[in-house]
Amino acid sequence: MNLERYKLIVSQEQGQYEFLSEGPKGVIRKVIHYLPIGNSIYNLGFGDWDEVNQKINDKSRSNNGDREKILVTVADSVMHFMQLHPRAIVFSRGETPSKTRLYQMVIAREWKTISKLYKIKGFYLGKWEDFIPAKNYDAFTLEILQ
Amino acid sequence: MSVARKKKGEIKVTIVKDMRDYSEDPFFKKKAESAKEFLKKHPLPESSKKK
Repeated sequence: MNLERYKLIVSQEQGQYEFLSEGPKGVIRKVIHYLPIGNSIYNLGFGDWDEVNQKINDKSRSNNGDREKILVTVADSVMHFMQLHPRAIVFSRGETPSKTRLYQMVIAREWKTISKLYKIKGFYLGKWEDFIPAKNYDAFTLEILQ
Repeated sequence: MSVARKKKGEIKVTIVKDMRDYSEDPFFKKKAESAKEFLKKHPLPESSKKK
């Protein structure tokens, strides 16, 4: 599938990715960070760079009219990161339940492709289970299918 | 700066050496701490634990 995406730049040593979102609200620098949090486990962090305050803006909803393109680009970063760290487990939990649902929608939409490459687990009603596209999970993990 | 070559199934990215270090950003640190707490409370199943 040939989906629109942004160009990613990466600092491989730091597990950091950047891209520029372009739309009616202007150019917004987006940052993706894979921070190690345990034995081969990395937390996927994602936010907008706030140039004025020199920090990531965690509450931002940029509404730049490019949500799909952003999600495809974030998914690209996950795939690239997994190519560099094939033993990694990526943990993801959105800032809000709606953001977590959004991530889930992307996984569900691309499930045919994703499920051939990765093992995804979702946290549902107090326990981890294999991802089922129609469920609303609180958190996810992703790892390469062995 | 270098551009990674795209092979089949690979993601095209531009590799840089001088990116700002975001690892100390309060947002990412808070997110990572929150994730650690979550996984401490709800550990991953044995099948996901790396040897």
